[in-house]
Amino acid sequence: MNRARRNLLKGILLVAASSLLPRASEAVKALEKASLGDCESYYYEPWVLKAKDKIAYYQALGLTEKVGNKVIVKNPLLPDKCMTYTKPYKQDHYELPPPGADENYASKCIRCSLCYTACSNMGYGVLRLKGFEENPAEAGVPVAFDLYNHPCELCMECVKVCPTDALAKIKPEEVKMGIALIDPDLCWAWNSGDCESCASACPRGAEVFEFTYNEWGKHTRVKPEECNGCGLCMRACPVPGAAIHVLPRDEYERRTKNFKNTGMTYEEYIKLIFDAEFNDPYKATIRSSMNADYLINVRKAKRPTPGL
Amino acid sequence: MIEKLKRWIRGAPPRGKWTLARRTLQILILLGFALQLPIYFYAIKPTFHGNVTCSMPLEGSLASSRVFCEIPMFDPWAFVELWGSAHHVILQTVIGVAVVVTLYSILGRFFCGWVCPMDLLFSLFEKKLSLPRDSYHMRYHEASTKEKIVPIISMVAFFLLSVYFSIPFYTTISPIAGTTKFFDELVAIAMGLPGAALGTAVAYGTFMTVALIVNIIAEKVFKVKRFWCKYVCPVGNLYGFIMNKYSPFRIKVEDVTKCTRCNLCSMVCPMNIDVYGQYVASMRDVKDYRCFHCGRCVEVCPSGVIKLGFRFRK
Ligand code: SF4
Ligand code: SF4
Ligand code: SF4
Ligand code: SF4
Repeated sequence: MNRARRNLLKGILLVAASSLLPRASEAVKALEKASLGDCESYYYEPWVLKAKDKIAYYQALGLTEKVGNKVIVKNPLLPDKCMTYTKPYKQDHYELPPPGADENYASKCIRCSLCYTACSNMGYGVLRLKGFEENPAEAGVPVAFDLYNHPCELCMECVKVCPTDALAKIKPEEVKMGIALIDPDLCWAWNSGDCESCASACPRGAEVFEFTYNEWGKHTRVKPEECNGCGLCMRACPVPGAAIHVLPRDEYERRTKNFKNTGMTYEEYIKLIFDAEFNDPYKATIRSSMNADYLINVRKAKRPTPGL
Repeated sequence: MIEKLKRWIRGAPPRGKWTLARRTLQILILLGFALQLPIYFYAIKPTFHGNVTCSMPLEGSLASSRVFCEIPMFDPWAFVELWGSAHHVILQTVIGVAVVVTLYSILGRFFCGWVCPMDLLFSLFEKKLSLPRDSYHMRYHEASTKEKIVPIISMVAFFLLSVYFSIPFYTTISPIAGTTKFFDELVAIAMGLPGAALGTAVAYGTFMTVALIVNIIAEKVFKVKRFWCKYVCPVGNLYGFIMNKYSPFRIKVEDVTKCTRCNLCSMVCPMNIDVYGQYVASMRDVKDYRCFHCGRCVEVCPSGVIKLGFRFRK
C-alpha cells in the first residue's frame, strides 16, 4: 500500500515536471540572439548579399553595409537603416480567434467542438482545438491556426452552431479575426507592379482596399477598420510566403507603431515612399528596382499579371 | 485463462438484456461522436469543399451536441458553470438545456449508466461483486449524510473554480466530453484532417486517463468504489440529486413476497446501493441519488422481484 502511494506521488511529480518542459524550450528560444544585430529581428529578415556581382552592383550605388562578415543592403530611403523584409508566413504566423469571438471567448466556450465539426463539414478546416500548448486552461478552445493554407471563407457555420455566445451571432462583415498588413517593400503593387491579387481575392474587395496609382505601381492598402482578417488575401498573393500577413490586433498595433524597427509608424513609412516618388524619382526607382530584384531572385516571386 | 479474463471483464453472471442494451447504446454514442467528422469526404478527396452543413447523426461532444442535425443538447452542468464563468446566457443555450432537462426528468440519472463513456471504462477495471465483509466504501450501504455532502461540496467547488478562473472548469477537464473528443480527434488525425492536432488528442487523452487512474487508484489503493462518479463528477450528481427524485423511469419493486433475501441485488450494484436493505425490504422504489438505472440488480434477481421501467405513482 505504501509503495503504491509512493509510486502515485512519483507519477504526479513526473507529470508536473514534464508540463514544465515546453516552457523551458520557450526560454531557450528567447535566449537565442539575433546574429545581425538590429537588422534581423523576430519578424523581419535583412537581405544578405551572396553573389559577387550583386555586391559590386549595390556597392556602386552606395547601398551596402558590412555587418560582421556579411554584406547586407541598406534602405535607400533611410540611409542609416538596413533594408528588412517581412519573413515568409510560415515563420511569422499567429493563431487567431475564430469568427465572432471576443477577447474573453474562452470563458464562454464550453469546449463542445461543434464549431470544429461544422468547419470540417464545410470542408474549410480553419479551426483547430487548442491543447495544452500555451494555456492549459484553454484546452479545447477553437482557434484559426493557419489562415495561409486554410483561410476562413466567412460561411458563418461555426457561429451558427455555437451553443453559447463564445462565437457571437454576427454578420460576416462584422468579423474581426485579425487585420491584414501589407509590407510595401515586398508587395508588387508598391514596386512597379500592377498587382491586386489580394484585393480581388478579398470577399469585400474595394470596401477593404484602397489604391493609389502612379508610375511605381498600384499601391494597394488595407483599411484596418474594415478588414475581417479572413486570410483569403494571403493565399492569392504571388509572393511566396505572402507580402500581406493577417496579424492579431495587438500585434498589428505594435508593428504599425514601429514599422520594421525604423521608429516610424506605418503611415509615416508609406508617406516616406510617396514623398520619394513625388520629389526624388531617382531614389524611388532605385528602391523599387531593388525590391523587385529581391522579389524575383531571392523570394522567387511570380510576376503579377497586370490588370487582373 | 480466457474464461478468467471474460469473468474479469464481465463480472458475475448472469448478464442480461439491460447490460447488453446499455453497452450497445454507450458504444454507439461513443462511435457516433468519434465518427462525426466528414471523414468519408476527406478520404475520397483531400481538398474537399463540401459545403455540407451537417453530415452525421451525432455532432459535437457530450458537453453540447446536435442530434440528427436538428435537436440541440446542452449539458445542464456546463450551463451552470457557463453562468458562473461568463454571466451571460443566450436563448440557444437555454433551448439545449431544456431538451436535456426534459429528457432526464423522464429518465433520471440514466445518463451515467447508458450514455457516459466513463462508465464503460470504469467498469472494465472494477470489482464486480461487493461482499458483506468488504470495507465500508467497497460494500453496499445506505449513504450517510457525510457521504452525500461530499459531492455537493465538489459541485460548489467546481462552480467557484469556474467563477474564479472564469472558464467552465469541470467542463474543460471533463473526462466525459473529453473521451468522446479524444476518439474524435484520433480519427481526425488518422484521416489527416486539416485541424487535427496531436496536442489536442494528448490534452483530451490526459483528461480521460486522469479520471480513469484516479478512479482505479481510489478503488485498488484506498478501497473506495466508483470514487469519481460518487464524489467528483458534478454532471452525474446533478442528475442524481435532482432528477432521480421525481423521474418516472426507475427500479421498481414489484412483488416483495417472492423475495428470498439473497442480497444479490445489493452485492452487484456498481454504486454500492443497499438495494435489498434500504428499498426492497421496505417496499419502496429505488430512488437513491446514486442509482443510474444500469439494471444489474434486475438481471441478477433470481425471483423477479424488481423491474426496470416507468412508474408514475409514489
Ligand atoms: S461551438 Fe462554441 S462553445 Fe463549442 S467549442 Fe466552439 S466556440 Fe466553444
Ligand atoms: S484584406 Fe485579406 S484578411 Fe482582410 S478581409 Fe480582405 S481578404 Fe480577408
Ligand atoms: S497580392 Fe501580394 S503582391 Fe499583390 S498587391 Fe496584394 S500584397 Fe501586393
Ligand atoms: S458519475 Fe459522471 S463519470 Fe460517472 S458515470 Fe455518471 S456522468 Fe459518467
